Amino acid sequence: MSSVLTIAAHHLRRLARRPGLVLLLIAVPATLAGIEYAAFGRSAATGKLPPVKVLILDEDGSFASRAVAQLFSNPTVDDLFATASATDRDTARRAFQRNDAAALVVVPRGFQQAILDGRPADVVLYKNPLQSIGPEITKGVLETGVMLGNRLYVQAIEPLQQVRALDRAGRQPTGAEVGEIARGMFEAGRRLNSLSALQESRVTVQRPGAAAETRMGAQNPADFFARFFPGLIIFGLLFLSQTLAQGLLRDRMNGLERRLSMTPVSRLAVASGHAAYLTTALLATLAVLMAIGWGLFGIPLRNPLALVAIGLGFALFVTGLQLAIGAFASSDRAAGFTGTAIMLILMLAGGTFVPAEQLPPWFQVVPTLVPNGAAQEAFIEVLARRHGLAEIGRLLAVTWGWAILLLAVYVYRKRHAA
Amino acid sequence: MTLTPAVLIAWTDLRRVARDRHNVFWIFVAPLIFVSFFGIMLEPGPPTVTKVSIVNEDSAGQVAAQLASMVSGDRVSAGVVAKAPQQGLFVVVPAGTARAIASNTAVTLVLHAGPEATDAERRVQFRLQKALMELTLGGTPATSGAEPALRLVEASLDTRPVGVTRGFQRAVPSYLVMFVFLNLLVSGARLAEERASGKFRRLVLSPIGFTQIVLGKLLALFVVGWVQMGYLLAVGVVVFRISWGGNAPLLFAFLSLFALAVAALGVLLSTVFDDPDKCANLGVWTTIVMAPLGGLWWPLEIVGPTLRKVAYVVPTGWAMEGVNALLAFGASARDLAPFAGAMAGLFVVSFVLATRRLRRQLVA
Repeated sequence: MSSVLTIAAHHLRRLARRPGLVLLLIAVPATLAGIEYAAFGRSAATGKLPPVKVLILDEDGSFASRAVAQLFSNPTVDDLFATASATDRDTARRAFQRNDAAALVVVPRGFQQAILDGRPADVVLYKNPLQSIGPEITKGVLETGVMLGNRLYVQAIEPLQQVRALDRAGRQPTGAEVGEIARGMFEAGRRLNSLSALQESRVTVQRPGAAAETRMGAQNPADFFARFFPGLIIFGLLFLSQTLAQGLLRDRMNGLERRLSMTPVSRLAVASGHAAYLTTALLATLAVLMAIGWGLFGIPLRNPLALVAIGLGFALFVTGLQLAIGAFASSDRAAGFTGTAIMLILMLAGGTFVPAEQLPPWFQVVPTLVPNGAAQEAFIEVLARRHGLAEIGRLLAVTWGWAILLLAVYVYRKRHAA
Repeated sequence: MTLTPAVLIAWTDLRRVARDRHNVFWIFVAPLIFVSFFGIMLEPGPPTVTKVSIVNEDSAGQVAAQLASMVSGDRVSAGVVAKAPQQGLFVVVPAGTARAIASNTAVTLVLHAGPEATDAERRVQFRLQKALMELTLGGTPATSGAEPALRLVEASLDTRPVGVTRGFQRAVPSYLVMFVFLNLLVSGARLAEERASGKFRRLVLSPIGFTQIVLGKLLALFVVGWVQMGYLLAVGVVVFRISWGGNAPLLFAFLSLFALAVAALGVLLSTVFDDPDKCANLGVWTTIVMAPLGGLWWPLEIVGPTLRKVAYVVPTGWAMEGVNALLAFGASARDLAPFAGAMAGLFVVSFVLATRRLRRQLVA
């Protein structure tokens, strides 16, 4: 046992003497987390996307056309949009090309007159092809506005039809007709006034064990990052493990292992020493990354026992994987090639780059079957969904099962290698 | 000045690159895996229908029935039930809803959802909100015999509907830019390896000009970027059936300039550390920072205005914005000039700095 610890401690001391590479590798997931925090932190906290920029080109300049622009500034949606006037379509196209606007809304000349004449009045929507979400939100608001406009139009249709009939006939209205039109307009106005209910009617969302929520998607940013950060941890540890394992492989190629075999230390002890070194280094890095998640991004480190169980299982799995690859490889380049290919496939299959819930339904089971995906899911269950050891048992079994299998393969190979 | 020694050095380096399976994997196989994976992820899948139950607690059943009819359609299916289901989305129409709507009193509907917000749930919430508005306003233009006064018409500002925001049409250009960037920066680490092993110093002792040597190294990197670029452009058309816009020569020239600038940056990064592993990891780190900032991993429309501006100061953003402008707007060379100018600037600065640093490290 003491020889195992001596070998592990020796490698750890070497690592501690030259920590530059490890620090660089820790910087990768930490920087990525920082960028994600800068990109999505505010959205996560408010439950809203950054304001959708809509350009308005009002060619009519009428009372009715101004109402179209007001669709984007009314209190229920004004924080969703940032509007700006466009002078013409060419300016808008240039803004589109700079990705500086999601959509252009044009109210063409003659818009109000068309309404008064009873002809269809068009609102023209131009979508920026570089964006997909903003233009659709704009379209949704315009569709609702058009629906509302048409319903309100219905309220005043009778007096409007009377005005149009008079206009077509080209004669002055009689006193009775003026009275009737005025009464119709008054009734329409009264009906519209009583529609204040429209502003106050709402659909709230009720979740199990939570208060009803009106806003869509609002959540604690720390909870949001508790879903993203585990993927970055997995990513960072996988790459670090490859670099550390390659160091061991270079030792072997330089004859260090052969020299060790001349000493009265068993092969099993050497193999175990290497495994202990890698696992310890990975666990230490995991602790540093967790501390960064807690300190910088406010991710609460719930249920330490469950976190240790997941972290240790994953560190053992990565150790087994890298050492097994090294044990079969003929050179550090061959090990690097094989390791990179395997890690890439594992990261894609395990949902490191795309959260499991975003994957197609037919693929969503895969991340829970691969060890890194299971570990990532388990971290998310504990950190974001507040689950305990009992709920993550199956995921732990997957990670630990793979870890034991790969370590067994490595030890077998080392004991039987020439 | 003859280019022959530089070409010979580049040729030797390229043969070494081709012999290494690791390089072949990162140039040809890894981008294909990424593009396939993310192309499938970004492709709009077959529409899945979200079921929502309308639980009627109102004595008059017409509101629940009308809601079900208004909410149904376009990936939502709604049905009226008497009792709240054990699971799944459901909305309760409380007692007195019909009376409240008739008397223009505000109505609140509660949508019971799962523990986490989903896109389907948001779609249902939006539809319910719209249906509630329609019910509050009552009557429809169709029933009143009136033509709709307002119409929403969609038009295009002479843009190309190639769909640069989804599927392979987004994945292939994004990962082309990312892998060319990654490969050229990481391949630059090979120079650090040559420095560490003394091979570079031996080359310097030969009767070849120092600039020729650096040019040769740069040329090898540039050709690697060119090969990868050409490969992904071809794979995009042949395998993934995407469009590269209507101006292939301009696209190729623009991406070539990008590859040249990044190759020079790769040479510069190789001079930062003596340890080749550190140089390679610096390349990985730089890529991982630049890729999301340039809008390669997620669309810039979902980030805030500040980060959106950052895309205009990073090389990945110059490349991606330029490619998007070509694909979606049929941009001209003049439109691309600001990005091309920035890339040319990056090339000049990187090459000059890299040559100076290498000279100091090897000759001095």
